[in-house]
Amino acid sequence: MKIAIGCDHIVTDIKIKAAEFLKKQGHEVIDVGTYDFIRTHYPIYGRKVGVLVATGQVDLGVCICGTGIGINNGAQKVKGVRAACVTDVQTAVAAKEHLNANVIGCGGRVVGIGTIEYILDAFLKAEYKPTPERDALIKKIDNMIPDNDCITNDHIFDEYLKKWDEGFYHD
Amino acid sequence: MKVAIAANQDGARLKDVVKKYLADKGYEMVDFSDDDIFTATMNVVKAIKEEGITRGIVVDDYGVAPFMIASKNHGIVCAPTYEDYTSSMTRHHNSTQIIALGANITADVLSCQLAENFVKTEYDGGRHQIRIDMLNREL
Repeated sequence: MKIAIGCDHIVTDIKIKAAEFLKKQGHEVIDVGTYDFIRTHYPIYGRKVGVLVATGQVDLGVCICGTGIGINNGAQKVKGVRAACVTDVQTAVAAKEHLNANVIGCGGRVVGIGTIEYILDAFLKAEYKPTPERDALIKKIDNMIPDNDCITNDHIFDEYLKKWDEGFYHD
Repeated sequence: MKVAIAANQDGARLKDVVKKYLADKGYEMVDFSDDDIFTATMNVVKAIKEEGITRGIVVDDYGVAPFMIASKNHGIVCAPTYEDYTSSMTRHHNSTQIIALGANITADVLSCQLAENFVKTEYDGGRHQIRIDMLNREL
């Protein structure tokens, strides 16, 4: 399977371990970053994973940040993405079986690499179990976002990064 | 503080437990439940976006569907929440307005604590705001 994986600077080491686990299982892994521990912003990587999934360039996505919440919101806001951010195997399997989730995520500061491996393994093995009700809900979710430039425009964050560099965002 | 809460049938029992717990702590609970999880979640989203309520809680079986639905709305950050760290950190860093609880995953005591952590924790703002602005640019 072709799998995109992304993270923010908080959990790069965890992401690398998760990517290695997937590679060992024979999957082709596209790591969209971030690649180090220098402060960056989770929507960049959530969107990158989401775009690869939504455009069919990969089969599935994996998104990890501190809690998993930020980066998975970043992925979920891409049209066509159905992300789940979980802490256990049961929820990951339900996300696939009930809603055909195409991105799986978790918090690298929340669950350890052992649990992440279990989650990834179970999610990849699980299959969507369609019913008319589930098909209808998935269609409803997919249709929530009108066509916009999120997928096609790689510069949507430029203005915010410029403001960041200018010191606009400070604690 | 007003708190919007909703569940479908899978989450109804846990929702009532959390609702009573927060009401006993002095929160004004507004119940938007519906048998359909899409409608229940969107009711809470509307309460946040149009009625000035700042916190919402949606309960179903796993918390997966409410997250998928709520987060597809412009200006909404939703957190599926199963443990303590996320319940408060997602307020501090993500300015999350809605949490999703899974009745099959978190038991009563933990669920009530997660909800309380979420409603009482404030957003840190500052450097974190660039990420929220980015999320709002995506959708």
